[in-house]
Amino acid sequence: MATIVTTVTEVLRYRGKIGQWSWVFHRVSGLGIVLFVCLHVVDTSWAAFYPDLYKQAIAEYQSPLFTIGEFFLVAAVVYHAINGYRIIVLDRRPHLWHLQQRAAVLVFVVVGIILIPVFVLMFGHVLDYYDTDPEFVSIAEIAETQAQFAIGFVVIVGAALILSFLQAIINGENISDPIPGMRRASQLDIWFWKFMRVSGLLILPLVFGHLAMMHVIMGVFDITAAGGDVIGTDLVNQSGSAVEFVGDRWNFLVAGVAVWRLYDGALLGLIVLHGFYGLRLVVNDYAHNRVVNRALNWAIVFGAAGLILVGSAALFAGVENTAEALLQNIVARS
Amino acid sequence: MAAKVHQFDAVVVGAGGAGLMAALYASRGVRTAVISKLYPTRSHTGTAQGGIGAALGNLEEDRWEWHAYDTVKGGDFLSDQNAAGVLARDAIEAVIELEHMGLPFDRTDDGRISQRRFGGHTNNETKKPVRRACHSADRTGHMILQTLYQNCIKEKVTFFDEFQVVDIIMNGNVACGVVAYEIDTGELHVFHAKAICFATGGWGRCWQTTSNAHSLTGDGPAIFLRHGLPMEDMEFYQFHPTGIYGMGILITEGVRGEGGVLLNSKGERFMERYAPTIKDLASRDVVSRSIYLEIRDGRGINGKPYVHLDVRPETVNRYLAEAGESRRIDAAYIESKLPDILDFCRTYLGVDPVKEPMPIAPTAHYAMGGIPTNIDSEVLSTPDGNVVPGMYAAGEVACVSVHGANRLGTNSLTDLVVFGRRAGMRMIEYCKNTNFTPLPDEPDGSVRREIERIRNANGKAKPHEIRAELQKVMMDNVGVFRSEEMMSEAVEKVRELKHSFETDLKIDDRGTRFNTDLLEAWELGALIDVALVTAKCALERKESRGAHSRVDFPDRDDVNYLVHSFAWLEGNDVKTDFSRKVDLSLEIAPTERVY
Amino acid sequence: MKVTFRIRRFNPEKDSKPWWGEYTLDNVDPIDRVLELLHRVKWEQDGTLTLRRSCAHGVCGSDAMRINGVNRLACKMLVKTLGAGDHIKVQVEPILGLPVIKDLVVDMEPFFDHYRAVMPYFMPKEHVPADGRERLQSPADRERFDDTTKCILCACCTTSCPSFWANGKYVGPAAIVQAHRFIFDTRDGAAAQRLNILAEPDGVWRCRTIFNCTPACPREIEVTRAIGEVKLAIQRGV
Repeated sequence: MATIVTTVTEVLRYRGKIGQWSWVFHRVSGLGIVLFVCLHVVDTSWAAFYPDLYKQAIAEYQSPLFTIGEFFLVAAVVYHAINGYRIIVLDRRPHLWHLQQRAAVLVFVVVGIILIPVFVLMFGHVLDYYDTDPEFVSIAEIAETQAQFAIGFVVIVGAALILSFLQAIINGENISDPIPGMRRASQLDIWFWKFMRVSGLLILPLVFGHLAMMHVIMGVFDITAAGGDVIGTDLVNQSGSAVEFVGDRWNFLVAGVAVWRLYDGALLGLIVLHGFYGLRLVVNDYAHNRVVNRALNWAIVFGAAGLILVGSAALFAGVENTAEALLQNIVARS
Repeated sequence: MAAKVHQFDAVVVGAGGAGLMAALYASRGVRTAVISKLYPTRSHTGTAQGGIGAALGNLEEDRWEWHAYDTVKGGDFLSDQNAAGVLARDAIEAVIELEHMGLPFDRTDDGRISQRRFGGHTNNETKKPVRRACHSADRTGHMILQTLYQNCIKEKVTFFDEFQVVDIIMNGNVACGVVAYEIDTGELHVFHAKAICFATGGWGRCWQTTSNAHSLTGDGPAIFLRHGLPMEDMEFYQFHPTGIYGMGILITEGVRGEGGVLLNSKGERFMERYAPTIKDLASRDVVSRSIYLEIRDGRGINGKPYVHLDVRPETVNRYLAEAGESRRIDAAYIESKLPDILDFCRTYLGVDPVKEPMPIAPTAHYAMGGIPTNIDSEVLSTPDGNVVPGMYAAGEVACVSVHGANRLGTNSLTDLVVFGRRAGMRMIEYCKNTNFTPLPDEPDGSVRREIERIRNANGKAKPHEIRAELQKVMMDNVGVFRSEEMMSEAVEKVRELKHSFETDLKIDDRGTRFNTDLLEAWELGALIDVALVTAKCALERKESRGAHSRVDFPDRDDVNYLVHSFAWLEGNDVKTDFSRKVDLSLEIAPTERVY
Repeated sequence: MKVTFRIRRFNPEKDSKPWWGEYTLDNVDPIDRVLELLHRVKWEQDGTLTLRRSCAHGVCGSDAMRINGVNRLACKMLVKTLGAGDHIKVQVEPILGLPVIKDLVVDMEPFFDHYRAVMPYFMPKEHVPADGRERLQSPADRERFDDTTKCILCACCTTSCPSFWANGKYVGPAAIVQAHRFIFDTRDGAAAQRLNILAEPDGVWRCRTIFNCTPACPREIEVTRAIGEVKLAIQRGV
């Protein structure tokens, strides 16, 4: 814990050059994205399993608080990806290190060049939506639902800590021990070092495509536009239900292949593994107590596995989205 | 509080090139500990650049006999010829061994250790410079130090880092240990040993301008003197004419070779007055003396003790024109001929030699004298060669004597490795054939009292004031330019400073943890003793030879002075003896020293 | 010119926590170096100021410290690079990430432990040649690892690394540089063992290419590059 504080304060005091800031932004953006991904995979899975909850989630995404967050999210993803490419190039060709500073500046410039038109378009969607004088979900409601996520995190981490503590007792460890040193290769880290770079290369086009579709070409608000085109398909969202939107996309076939399910599946697998290994790096940097470190690493594994399972299950199960089915649902409930 | 006692068969004091070599060898046979006041890689060996001389003959014909001859001649015939022979012969094996240990020498095209020319090293038949200096980039000393330390880690040598040895322990006339001050805690430790090797380096800090590290304060010689043991050839201290002012780093003579000139505060090319014919290209000691005189007479730049070395194209061209020469140079020429110096001055001084002149001053550089040893690195107690049982010395602190009155470039690294190795091997033999000599009662008593005296010193004279005065009088009076009057004055002044140190010292830090105020004061005590002996020996040697150059006795006197000096410190007095004759086993007769 | 130093002080025998001391010096020459000025503060104003130093010209690596927020060797920092004008301020603190013993002196043992752990010594690939002479190596092979032979173990790089600040068990750039020197020396045969050690979780994987190390190095070693080459060597072999 102390080391996080020291690192934060000293990063602000040590006059490192731009490379230091590239790292800070890369880490902060990565953490932000991972946090969002946890929420996003879970709530999108609701489209398949708890449609009403999904609709509620989308309504929250359309609220001003989340809209501000959306801009930050897009910036984070774009920065993390472009800087990621800088990292990949420098790792592949260490002798180009002397270009790293210029590359870092270039990254910021390129990110700026991308974000300006993107933000303009996104803001356009915001204005269009606000012109329709919509009703927003209240902050209190948002707090309530997000609190549930927060509680979920706490429960998972807490459970992991308790289990890790029990493990310590079983092993007869001293709970204030630091992590034992290991003077031999960690095959996990060797493999994942490659994976982070390969996955990063693949994720950029996939995630840029996803952002373009969901936030730029159309906005989050168009998910609930009745009669609106469902992007990437030749369908129209008849009911204006977010659930139908997802269903239309996931059921869209090209030559018999559910392309968007495959796309979202690839995105899910790559991003969760990439993001959660990143989380492991951060945990190993700052959590030095053996019990805590082990707990957090278990929580990471559990979280990653859980998200992939939940997301895959949703993709597999699919969404009932025919207009009749939905109308029937509504009729049945009333 | 009683000192902690450690027992080792062999103890090495100092972890530079000689110390590490001795330790590496000794530890292969007996339980060895290395005690160093610095972390080993901080030792001054690491700053040596030029190369290590050995007659490998990788690029052209070379023989150890030539190397030995060059060493003796370079030493102005004061080198013990048996020692020079050992140096030159063992050098070949020692350098190859360094390579076997991993030292990354530069290579020739056929993969062998690369060698280059260096001043004073010749093919004795053709008299031309020979490629004898084995090098690793321009960091040979750094590589040697690192390689030796790495091998010590590999062989798990025991180190006591940041322990400063402050006394030796003698039982009668037998060496039986050392007392060390643990810098971190302030506690004294007793090391009980059969064999002890001192490799504590030089004492450049006696002088105001020196290339030496702050740590080189003559600790070893001072401790020995205080036990009634003699020092040898202390009057021979090498001054290099062009060291960067304030840093003491040396600027190669090549700069003057390319047309650089020395200027005083009036912009005058003063060498015209001192050496009208060859001016700035006169020999090292002439140039050193001239620079020194300009400074003494108030023509130093901005009133400070340095002059300018000007290699700007416009200056060089001006003097070329005056000399009637037609060639002219430009900035690009200087860049191509002197890249390292330019880089150095730009980085360290923020001075661009192509646009501004460089500040330089004569610089105290190397101690040819020191703890007398024979060629087996055994310490001598008398001029006729009696040894101190159990005591060894190697490296710059020792006087075998290899370097005689003046050291050749690249021979210092060779000296470290050759004699360090010999010391290590001899220590194993000695330890295997000897039992521990018991420690006397209270082995740390007297040094503990002195340290406590210093810790509580509350007089008026601060260490840096005393040290500054010491360094000034030594630089002025026992420097490049010596005379009876000046050196006598120096002896008196140093005695006064010694008195001040003993009775009127003031220090600020009374603590026990990492008290560098106290340690610097203790080191000052060592500098004073070493300076006193140096000044007195210089006074007593009535000739000029090698680095010892006197205005009142300007010639070399091989009749009376083809001998080494021995000196003992007795309170405030120094007793000298000039009876130990130079060894002439290689049958090299002294000749006029012309290059 | 005048220089006011703000120096981080700590006396383990008297202070419960560190404090800032201010010391002003007159008559400073712009080409004076920070080490000389710190000596003046110690000798003229406060003898308890404690620092390590030895060669005073950038070779021994004793006097690494944070000067105006950047890791440097105090003997190489010319005052004129720290500011212009008649009166400048300079802040001096110990290097970060190693326990402070007193004032500007830190405990170097953890740093040296990491260094010793990477087998920083020559392990010959082949026996000594039959003729007893030197092993052969081509100039090109010698050049391959020349950069990392320059390391003086000053700790500027390791203590400028945020990953090291966060996790003192990270072996650190300096240890990796030292290992690199042997891994890429064609005469050495223990590359695989060293790569094995460096592939531990606290080995090269803690490097996040933050690049603070390279500008901090007083010997201008391409530190991050060396670390990158080691990472690739772990993946592909030397």
